[in-house]
Amino acid sequence: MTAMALEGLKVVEFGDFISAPFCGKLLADLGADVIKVERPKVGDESRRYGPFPDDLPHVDRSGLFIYMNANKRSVTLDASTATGQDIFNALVADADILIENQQPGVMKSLGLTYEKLSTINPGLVMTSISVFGQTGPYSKYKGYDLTAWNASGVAHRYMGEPDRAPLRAAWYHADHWGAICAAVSTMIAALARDVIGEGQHVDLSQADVLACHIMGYQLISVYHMTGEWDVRTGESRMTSYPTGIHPCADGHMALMLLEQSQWHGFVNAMGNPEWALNPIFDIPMWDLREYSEEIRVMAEPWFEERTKKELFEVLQANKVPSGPVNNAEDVANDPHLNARGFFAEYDQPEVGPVKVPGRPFVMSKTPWSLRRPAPTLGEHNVEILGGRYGFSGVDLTDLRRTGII
Amino acid sequence: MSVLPLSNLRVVNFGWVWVAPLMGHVLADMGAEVFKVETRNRPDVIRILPPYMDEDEAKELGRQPLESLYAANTFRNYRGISLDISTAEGQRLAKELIKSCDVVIENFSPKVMGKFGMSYEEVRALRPDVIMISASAAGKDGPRSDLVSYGGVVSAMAGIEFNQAYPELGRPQAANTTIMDPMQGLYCAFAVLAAIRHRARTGQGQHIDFAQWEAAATLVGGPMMEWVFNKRHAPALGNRDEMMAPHGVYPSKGHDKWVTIAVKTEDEWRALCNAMERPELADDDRLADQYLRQLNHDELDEIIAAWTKEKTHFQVTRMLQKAGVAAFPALSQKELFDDRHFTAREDWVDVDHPLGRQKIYGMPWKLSKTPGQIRLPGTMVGQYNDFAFREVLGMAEEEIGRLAEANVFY
Repeated sequence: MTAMALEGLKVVEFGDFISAPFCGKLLADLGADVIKVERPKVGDESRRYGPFPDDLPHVDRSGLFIYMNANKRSVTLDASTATGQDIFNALVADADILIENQQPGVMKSLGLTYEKLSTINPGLVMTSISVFGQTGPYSKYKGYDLTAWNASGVAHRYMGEPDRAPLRAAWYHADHWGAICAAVSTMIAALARDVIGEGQHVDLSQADVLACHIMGYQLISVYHMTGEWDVRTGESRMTSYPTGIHPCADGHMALMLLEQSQWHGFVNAMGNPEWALNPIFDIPMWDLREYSEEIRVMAEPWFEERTKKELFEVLQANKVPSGPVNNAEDVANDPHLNARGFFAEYDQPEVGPVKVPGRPFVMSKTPWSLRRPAPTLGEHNVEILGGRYGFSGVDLTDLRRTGII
Repeated sequence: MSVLPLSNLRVVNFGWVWVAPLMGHVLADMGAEVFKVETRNRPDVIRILPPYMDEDEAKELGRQPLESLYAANTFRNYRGISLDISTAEGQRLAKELIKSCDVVIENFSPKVMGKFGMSYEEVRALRPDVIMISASAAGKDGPRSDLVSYGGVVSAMAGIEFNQAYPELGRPQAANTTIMDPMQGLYCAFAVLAAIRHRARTGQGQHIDFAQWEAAATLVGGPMMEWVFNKRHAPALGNRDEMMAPHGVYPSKGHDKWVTIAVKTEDEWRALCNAMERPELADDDRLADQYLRQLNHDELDEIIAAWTKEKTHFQVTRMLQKAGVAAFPALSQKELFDDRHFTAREDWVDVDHPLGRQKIYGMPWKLSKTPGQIRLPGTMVGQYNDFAFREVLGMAEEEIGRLAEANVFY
């Protein structure tokens, strides 16, 4: 059997929707044993998000849930009950990692703080994902994906048109940022455990990670030195036209030019029209911004008369960084992604054959794997609570009857 | 001082711009010794974006300034060496260095490292347990492996921009920066950390083929499932949400000031109505649940905006958060950097660079026992040549002099 990079890591995931579940997925897909703790009867809220096959809602058929939770096992638990907390503690006592994304104050009200859980299991790495973090003036504030995206400053500075409201990024991007950064910091803590001999608490704020990595990178040092700051400048004005997204005959093309040689390639791709050969345009891309509008007026028809495919071929042949703005269908059918085996296809109980995005990267010795479908709600109550923790059949029936699992 | 958990790792980074430098500093912040390889002939392109720390000096010497403030953040904790790996001698020394490294990072297009004699197979022959990560646009094989692209393009090809738009403008919206780049750097760091764990347990290294296009395509699972299940495209919702309503970015008092409001539960909805002193809305049949509020969202937006625009974004935030509703300003760049919360969390820290004091971002995540540390400011080109060639490789003075003369170190 092929080795897996995170084989042997026991993870308890206690969270909803995307940030904690996608973090759990990143670990599970590389081999970690992830037990997902869900609320009895309703489960992870993504179970009601959908999309559903034929638009028929069903707790075990949500596309979002299925994508986020393959490779995990599900137990149901009402952690607000005394017995539920006992069971939670038993799961954590045996785990290497706990990932949670509860709203501020919830873990404390449940008596599930790091201070308490680390007395049960000193080796535990507990990762708390939240919008604002566990400390600081806003740590009690409620928030979601939209909140994090805007609190980080990224929306106001980088996303949208200056005469409109700052724009949200596509499809819960801030939640995905939380998940990936949680996976990075959790892995650091897991490796640190081998050095310091104990676990620790990882406080992951989605606003922090967006603010640091995006706003910090470009701007904190400049602001500190010069006092200058800026707002979003609108689509396609990061450098000069043709950087940006352009309408074409059957959709849109995305281009990004940073080097003067790429401008030469663009001019050549257009067939060297006379206007474009004007030497005033033969300057660094950064300075070319001054002529953006003039260039747009002249080049726009060239895009509009051609298809994505035609444009992609001729621009790539001229080494212009470019690609089509793909929709999900384009991505699902893309010859390159399919040739590389990017997608995973398998039978999902209650749904049938599905095709989902697969590995984010290829590891030569410890490949990504899809080993089990996403669990139905509470599918592993008997296996885990009965098998691993020794609850008897009678206990489990009672737990179910009393609404604890 | 706390323990730096990765201090037994040595890394050499041949990568550029944003993805690869960010991935390397994640390791360096936690104690890894990370070399950054570049030359003055071909410096990392972010070094040549103004403003600079060395503008006056460069002018005096008649050369291009290279210490851009952009390098202050992602080059921190690095040891910069100036080694020209397009020369045979440069390649020989890079290979010597690789022998002492646990991790090799590169983000060239797929065939470049092979051209330098440093493909994974060649690198592994030098150091059998090496972990090497190659972060390219489209991966090392497949029909589009030679894709010419940057982060902003691969995210569009992965289906992200398709779902990012003002619905009323009806076109995909690009960000004003390549937001995908730092995320890819973090994704890469996760891959490397997983490989480090495997190596720690088994002694086995490996190669990581990281295609930015593919990694980006893992971030739009919902729209993909909508297509797979129902052969339909998920709509671009702008600032709205598929579940929550109301959900938006509303105008507040002042120029270009905005406040976000997101309502998930019926309790939150009632709390919002009460906070706006419009309790009758909570009993309005046309707004009685999430579904109905979605249907009447335009009208709802007008009501909310009429209330928010009379107050500052922080007034709205305080009133609504007190009532249990998720509200917060869309902070501007200035507001963010001056904000007491992010300052209290030590997101911005001062460092002493040889050319002056700088402010850079601190540790993005807060680990209670091994927080990591900024030990070195953003490295300058070739600042650690001495350390790398004299101390690590043990080269003699004359040879170092000869190679500097020949511009192998430049």
